[in-house]
Amino acid sequence: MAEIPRAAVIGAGPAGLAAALKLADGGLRVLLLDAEDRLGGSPFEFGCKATDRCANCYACLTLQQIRDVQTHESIEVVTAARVTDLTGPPDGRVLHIGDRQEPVSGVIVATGYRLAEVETARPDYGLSAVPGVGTALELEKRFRSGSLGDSPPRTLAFVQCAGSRDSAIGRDYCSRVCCTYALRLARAIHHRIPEIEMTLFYQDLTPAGAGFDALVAECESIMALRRGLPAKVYQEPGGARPIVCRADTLTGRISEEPYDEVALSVGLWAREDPELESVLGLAKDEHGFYEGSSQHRVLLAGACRGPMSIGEASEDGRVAAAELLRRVGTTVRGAVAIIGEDEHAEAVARREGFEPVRARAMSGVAGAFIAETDEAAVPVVGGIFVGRRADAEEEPLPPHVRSLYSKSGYGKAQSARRVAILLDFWAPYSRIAHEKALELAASRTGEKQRTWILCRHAFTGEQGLEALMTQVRESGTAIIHLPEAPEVESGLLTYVDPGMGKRQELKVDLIVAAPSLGPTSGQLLDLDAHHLNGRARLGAAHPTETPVEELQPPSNPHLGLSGTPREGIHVIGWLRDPGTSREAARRAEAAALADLATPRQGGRAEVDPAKCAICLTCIRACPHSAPVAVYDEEREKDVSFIQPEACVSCGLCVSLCPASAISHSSHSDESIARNLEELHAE
Amino acid sequence: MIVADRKPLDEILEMVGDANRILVSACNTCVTVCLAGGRREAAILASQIRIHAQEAGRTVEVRENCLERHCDPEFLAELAGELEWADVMVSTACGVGVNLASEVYPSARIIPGLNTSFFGATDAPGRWLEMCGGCGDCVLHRTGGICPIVRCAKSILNGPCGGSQDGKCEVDPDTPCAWQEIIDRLALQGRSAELEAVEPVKDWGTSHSGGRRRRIVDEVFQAEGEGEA
Amino acid sequence: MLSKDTVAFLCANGGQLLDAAYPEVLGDAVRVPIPCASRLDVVHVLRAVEQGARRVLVVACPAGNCRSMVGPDEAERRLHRAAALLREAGSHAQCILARAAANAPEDLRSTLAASLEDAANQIEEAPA
Repeated sequence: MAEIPRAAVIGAGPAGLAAALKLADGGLRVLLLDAEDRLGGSPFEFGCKATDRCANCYACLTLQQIRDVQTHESIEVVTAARVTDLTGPPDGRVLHIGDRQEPVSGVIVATGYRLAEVETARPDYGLSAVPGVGTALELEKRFRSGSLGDSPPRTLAFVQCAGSRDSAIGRDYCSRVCCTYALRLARAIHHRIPEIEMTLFYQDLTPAGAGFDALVAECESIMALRRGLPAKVYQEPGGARPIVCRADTLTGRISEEPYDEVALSVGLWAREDPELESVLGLAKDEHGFYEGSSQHRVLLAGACRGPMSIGEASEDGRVAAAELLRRVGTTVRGAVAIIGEDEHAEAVARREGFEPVRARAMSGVAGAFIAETDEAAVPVVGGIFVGRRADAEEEPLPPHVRSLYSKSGYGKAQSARRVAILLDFWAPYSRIAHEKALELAASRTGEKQRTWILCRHAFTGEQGLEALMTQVRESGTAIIHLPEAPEVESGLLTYVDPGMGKRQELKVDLIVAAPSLGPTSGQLLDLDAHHLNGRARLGAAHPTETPVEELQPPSNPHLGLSGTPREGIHVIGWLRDPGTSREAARRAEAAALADLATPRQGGRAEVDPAKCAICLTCIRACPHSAPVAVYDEEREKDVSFIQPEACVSCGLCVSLCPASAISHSSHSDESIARNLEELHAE
Repeated sequence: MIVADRKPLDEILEMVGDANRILVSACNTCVTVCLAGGRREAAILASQIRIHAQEAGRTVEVRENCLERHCDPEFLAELAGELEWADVMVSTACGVGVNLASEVYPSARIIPGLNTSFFGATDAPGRWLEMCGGCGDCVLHRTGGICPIVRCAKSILNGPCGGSQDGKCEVDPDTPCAWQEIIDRLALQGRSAELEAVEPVKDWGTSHSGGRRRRIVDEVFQAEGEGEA
Repeated sequence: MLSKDTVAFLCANGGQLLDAAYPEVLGDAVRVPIPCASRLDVVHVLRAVEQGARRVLVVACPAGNCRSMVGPDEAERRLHRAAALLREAGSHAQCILARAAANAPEDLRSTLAASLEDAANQIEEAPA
């Protein structure tokens, strides 16, 4: 019998853990290595930022991933591990971990990031020198331990971009996650200790995913958000408090204000590991993040490629793992439905051995869906709903303003002489709009062409965008930050310059803006119809078509960035979170590679047809549409049947069934009764 | 289906008295579907009885079972052994089940665990509405399928009365006027003209009077002595 | 500090992970693993009290963090019903629902502290 190939994953943070699980589920044996003496990587340091609701930071998932890795029989974990060499021919690579030598079929590098060295990079911020100045992470730890609440500061200032978006120190990139981190932390602190007066100083508020606008709006109501970073933070003469000295880039005002505490949002830097980089032939970008490897089957995942959130890193780990699985030849095959045109998703699906089916609706359960095309009903294992901007209805813009997304807007703007691009005034903050605006500005290189970008916040939280913004600025594009929309007439913009406090007029030939988009339409998911090989009695008789916009998946870390409550169905693109083109491509890839064909294993709920009173309680209550009514020929009556492919084994139906007809294979009444016997142990 | 409600525990305990061996018997039909008296609810009641006894420093023995139906003697036969053991049986079947079980086991103490409420349908998960009064003389064909006997507070057959206000009943502003609903339904069906016809005085003789009502299907029913020849 | 007369129903994706990482929070409570808070069964709560539990704790995930979407809300409704049934049966056992993610021992601690204080007050207020 041939040896099952083994893969190595270096780094056990969210990307490495996710990659290891995906590889092991894909049939490989996995060696998961971490230099630390524990698993979890950076997120292990983060706490929960929920208020009354989950804040969607994904930090808690790390504990779940660690448990899954530790209990997976195909994964071996080695902590405090050092990779010292990679030797052998391409088809017989051997990874050296100190004295240990392991043949590997591939390696995934997921070594994460390190925190910026703020003390040395920005000594003027007073970290470790001025009392009361600390990092946001330190603040979070005190918040979680309760010591912040025991002696709360009266005033607290967050300072963003400590160690990033700073060309003076060679770090002219946005760390992408710190705004969301700081805002979520501030919201959580306010929830528990509302008496603390909080202020956050920023350059631009940079969103890292869906729901960012709501987060900003919520934070605006509980704290002061002020544009303009401090020039320095110094100790109050004769006092003990830090003083924040800054110029407000919106108002131009210079201020020196004392705060009881200052929390620096420390940027993300590339990790440096010369030995590993040379052993694995890792190439780095200008900021030191890994770009690729010269070695055969050495892949990258997570924040070692550039700053990303925990959820994005997990997704990235799964994508890298799927790529490695493909290269070692162990992919699953079948057809997947792609609803809404997305060439990228189709290409990825095809590359993975799935036959993409362009469908207009689908029904059924994971692993056994029916996709409806114009001609036929095709069995598929999973489905990806792609929301496209082109499908969406645009909310009207003010008169004289054209859509950035239309030919008459974007197209005309390429050749017009004086163009103003208005971003997040009439639409929620949209990363794609910012990307498009910068692209448009960069393409306008004509001698007499002049461009103004007006926005509340500029988005640069992605590799390349900070550089692109610098480039368009240097070539003459003005980027003007305004707290609210300017007045618009034909060819004329009027606004109050926040710095000078004076009305300014801007004459242009064309005004384009990002419109707000309604939901995309035209796609239907037959949510309530249960086909089940024609056996289903209820539901199939009364199919109801659910417009897919109603499937807007709830934000929930357990569903990932593309998943839905229905196993095997993913929603991406404009229906989910309109990211940049690069993010959209990544998300399409992740969805196409997600566990479409291999629904979750685990315990399951099962109906005893002899006890079932077909009361419909389970069918009505299950959020995953797993139970259906089927005709039991032996008993000549309808009974409930729980489709194992759709069941996530939560046990909801087991505990609701009034006939006690449903049992749970791993958490039965009997096993729970045995647990309760412990009450007698004394 | 028959819709019922669990009786308050105090009431059940008072009926149980100082019995030490208690059988709680559930029914897997209507009362299971309306979440009042199936296997799960019987288990809950049994547990409550035990907890109550514990709190009072007593020990009782409570057993539970569930029959397919309490309204057929064949299923009730299963109770014979348990009733030998039990001092008292709490039935979580509807009143029909309590009657029949008591008839089958005349010497057993069988008490109702439920209040049998009405004939109804599921309106939403967890909510049931009365739909039929069981009057024995159905008029639904004339009223667009809306029963004036139970859905009109006055059970009138030629409505609405003067207490119908904005489509609501005067007895309760949250209760829709059944006759408004009937008018709307008939209008929808293009049958408004039929409302002109006066429904004669109802013969309540088919309803709750004159003792127990019975129904016979001759094709199946054999009177005593019949068929023995 | 929780003692053995507390039964803690722990969901696989939240409470169990929290307990594995921070076992001191639940002290000596009797742990009952359930796959999700929606597996909380009124019958199990009553049985726990029958078997001597004076306190029943359910550790569910925060809203928006349930793998099967509705677990915490379902658990809340059922625990509410169980508490009413227990009162009806004359039991003073306390039912506590805590919502805490796997990495939020402080949330569980503060819910427990508040509930224990509550229970202490109730005992003081109760007529002798």
